[in-house]
Amino acid sequence: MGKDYLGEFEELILTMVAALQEDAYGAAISDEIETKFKREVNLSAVHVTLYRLEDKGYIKSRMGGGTKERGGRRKRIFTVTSAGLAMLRAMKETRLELWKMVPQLGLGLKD
Amino acid sequence: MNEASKLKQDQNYKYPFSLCFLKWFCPDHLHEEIEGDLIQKFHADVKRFGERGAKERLAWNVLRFFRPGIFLRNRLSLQIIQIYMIRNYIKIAFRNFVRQKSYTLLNVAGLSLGMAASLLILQYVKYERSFDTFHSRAKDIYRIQYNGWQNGRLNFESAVAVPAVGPALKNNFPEVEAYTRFLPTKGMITYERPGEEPVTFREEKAQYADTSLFGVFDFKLIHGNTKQCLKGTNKVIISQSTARKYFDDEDPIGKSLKVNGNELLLEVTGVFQDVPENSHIKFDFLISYETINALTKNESENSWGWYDFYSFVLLKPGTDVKDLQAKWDEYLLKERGEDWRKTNRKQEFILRPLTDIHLYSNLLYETSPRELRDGDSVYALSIIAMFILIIASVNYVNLATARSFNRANEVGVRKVVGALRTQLVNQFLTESFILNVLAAVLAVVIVRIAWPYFSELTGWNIPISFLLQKEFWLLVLVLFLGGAVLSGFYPAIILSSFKPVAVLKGKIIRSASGNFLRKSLVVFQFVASVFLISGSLIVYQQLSFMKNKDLGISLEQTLVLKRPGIVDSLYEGNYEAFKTEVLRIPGVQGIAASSTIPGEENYWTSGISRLTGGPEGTNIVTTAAIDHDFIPQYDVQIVAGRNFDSRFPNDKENILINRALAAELEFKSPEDAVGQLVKHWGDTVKIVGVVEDFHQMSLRAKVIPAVFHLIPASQFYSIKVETENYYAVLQALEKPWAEFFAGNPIDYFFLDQFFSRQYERDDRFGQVFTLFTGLALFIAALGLLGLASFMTLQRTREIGIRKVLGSSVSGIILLLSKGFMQPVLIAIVIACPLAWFLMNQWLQSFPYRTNINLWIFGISGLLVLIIAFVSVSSQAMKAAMTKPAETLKYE
Repeated sequence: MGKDYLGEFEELILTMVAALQEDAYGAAISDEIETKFKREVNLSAVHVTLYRLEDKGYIKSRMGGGTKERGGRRKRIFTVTSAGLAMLRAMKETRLELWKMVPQLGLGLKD
Repeated sequence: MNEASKLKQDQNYKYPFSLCFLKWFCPDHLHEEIEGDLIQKFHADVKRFGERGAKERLAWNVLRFFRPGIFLRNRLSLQIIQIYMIRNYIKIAFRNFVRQKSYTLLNVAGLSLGMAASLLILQYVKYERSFDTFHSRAKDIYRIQYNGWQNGRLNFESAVAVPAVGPALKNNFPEVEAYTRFLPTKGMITYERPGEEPVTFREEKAQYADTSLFGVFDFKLIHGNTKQCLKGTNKVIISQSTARKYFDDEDPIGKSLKVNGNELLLEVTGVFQDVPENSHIKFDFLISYETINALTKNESENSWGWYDFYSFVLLKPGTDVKDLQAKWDEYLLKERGEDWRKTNRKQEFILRPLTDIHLYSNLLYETSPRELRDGDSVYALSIIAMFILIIASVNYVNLATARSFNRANEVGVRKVVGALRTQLVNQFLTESFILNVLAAVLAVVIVRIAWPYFSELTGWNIPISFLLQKEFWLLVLVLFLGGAVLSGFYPAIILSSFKPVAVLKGKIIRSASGNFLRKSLVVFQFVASVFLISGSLIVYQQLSFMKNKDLGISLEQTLVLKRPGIVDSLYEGNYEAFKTEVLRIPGVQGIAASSTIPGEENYWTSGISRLTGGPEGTNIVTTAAIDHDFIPQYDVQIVAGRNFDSRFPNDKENILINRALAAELEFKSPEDAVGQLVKHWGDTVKIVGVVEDFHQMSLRAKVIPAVFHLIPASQFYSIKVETENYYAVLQALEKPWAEFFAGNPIDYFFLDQFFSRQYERDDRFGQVFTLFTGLALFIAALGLLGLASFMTLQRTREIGIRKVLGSSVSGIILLLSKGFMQPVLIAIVIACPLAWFLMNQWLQSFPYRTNINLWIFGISGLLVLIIAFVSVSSQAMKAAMTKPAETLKYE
């Protein structure tokens, strides 16, 4: 009965955590999304999504170090679990499967 | 090293206030990293948007963290499963409500009506109990009650005392911090605005008052100085609305007011806030006490005999009043004992708490007797409120347990599937919670809508702002929670206790104890109903008894004019001329003048004693001035002797007395009193006649001994009007009035209306009692209806079989009704003696009372029986009329 699919935003965050490796924490992820995708994200939404993913067991977290620009507050660094990786992989494959089913209309448009 | 110290410095950096808000709601284990992220973002924003913009963005970001995903995280131990279960409880509850609409409707209607009624009553009771409590030291303020004893017999208990008691208490007892006195007065008050017509009003609510008033009470002075405004003679302070009435927008301070023409000239030295509605003493004018001292040569300061003064003392906090009273009594005996022995009298001055006056005081000469309430009646109303609430809750319990049969299968299946008992209890509690929420919301709406009508009906002018105080919502919450838990718990326990195996095997669960409980609850409901019905019938019987009993005086067709306030030396002659003119008006039968009229409390008292024989000492009696026409016009019977007669020119030295006084003075019969000499007002006067006792006041008061003097042209002119055409007479009166009493407004009223105003409070109480009785009965009937409908539903098949076997419709109705009539009959048997006993107690408080008729119980019992029978048989009829084929075809 558990939800074994992810929402769009959840998937985005999970991917970012996987991509940023040792530097995956709330502010960094939201910055990264804003610069890479030119998409306004809300910091609190990122945090809540991270916690939700942690509840679902796709990522885990530990406390990292503080820096000057953070006023000395420590970061919470997230890393992807194997369940999370498996989830990412499964989602990528379904996407590809689906993509293959789409008729390649681009060719027909030429004439 | 450098890096670390810089870090430290940064930690102490003052970040905006918004981060404090974050700290407040954010769970500790998340706080650090979120704050860190926010600060990081803040620093980035400073570069992009500048400090101000960054701060705004930070605040906005913090605000967006205020979401359940953050502040509820690991806070509530609500696990997912419980959240799902709660959702499920609510869903199931609503399904049940929708499935059985009429049942839900019945319950919500009963509960909300019950709650609304008790809210209304409890708020009312609270208002009545709030009287005089707005003074910050209300608990330390006492009024002095004056008990006068004559020949070892209690003669009167009065709310007014002699003026000397206040100073005597203050000067001899350190416990007494201050005293203050009020001497009521009334009159025509005029303001002459330069260059305009003078403004004159008749003012009834004026008092001479001590300066110490503001030290004892919390009445608020708006303009003027509390210490100075009542110092010196001829000073007056007025209420805000009075100031507006006389002066409009002018500044009243320093202006002059005239009393009764040129009797007194008062200077306005202050304006006070209007006296609150919930003050037992009300006034628009306060005149400095030194004014009356000057007029009476300090009589009003030192007298031990003149009792017209409302006297209050303020005690030091924590004073033992009983102890003080004992010491005070001792002091009085020492100081006054000599005087008392001489006149064979005794005076008691008792300290009575200020806050008890409104509800528990019913003395002679109360300030506004019609506003006083009977504490027991108010208390009785709160009991009715409880009754109604219990009746409504009982409905819910009865209906819920009666339906247990229908829901037994549901409970069985749930248990088999694995429901825990607590979950089932939760399920049923949720249902009662939701029903009670609906009922509470509806009740508040009903109260809000009903309030103005209700205020009008009851004459309780309670502002809506008083209703919607914080306590009101607290009360709503208490009623709601109490109702939900009390009415929900029992059914929840019963229903969740079913054994799944027994239920699913199809065994009928009908516990004898449940049945018994249900029946006792119904009995209780109807005991309450029968009691309330017979109670209100008895209240009405007593009221109509009081209104219809012969007063010994005729009040009909009488128009009363108040004497002009401003008169000159020609007044008596003017009155005679006016009288002649009035008698010429067609339709006028007669005109009589007197110092008092029926329905007006007679404050004029004096001492009287026989020249020879009779009781020792002086008797205190009420005194009235009447003219020759008073006795015949008012149809007062003369028992012995004669009326005042114009053929006897020295009748001014003679008096009439009433029968009560003749007995008091120990004459063997009224005839013996005629021709006897008595000492009165320091003169020796002769009794020329004895009149039958008549009721000066309502039947709530006993007839008091009275003396009548012949003094023409006093306070009131009573005009007996022949026709019903009052209006023409009134119009015709205006001309002679203007001619002889120029400058005085004409002020009139109808005597019978004036007199019956005394019963207003009783009438209103009767109405309220009836209203809530009706409501209680209605709710009880609703419950019975619901119960009957479910019971007949259960017996559908039985009825079908009976019909197949040849039972008649009436036979079935009888069969079904029998079960319900039994508890109702038991209730009647219990309630009647109870009502008889309690209402008899109530009647004891009336000096003249009716006897309780037995038919009252017959009527109430019959009424309840009919209502019960109608609600039950309507259901039984439905069941009995159903074709057996329809009910049996599923078997």
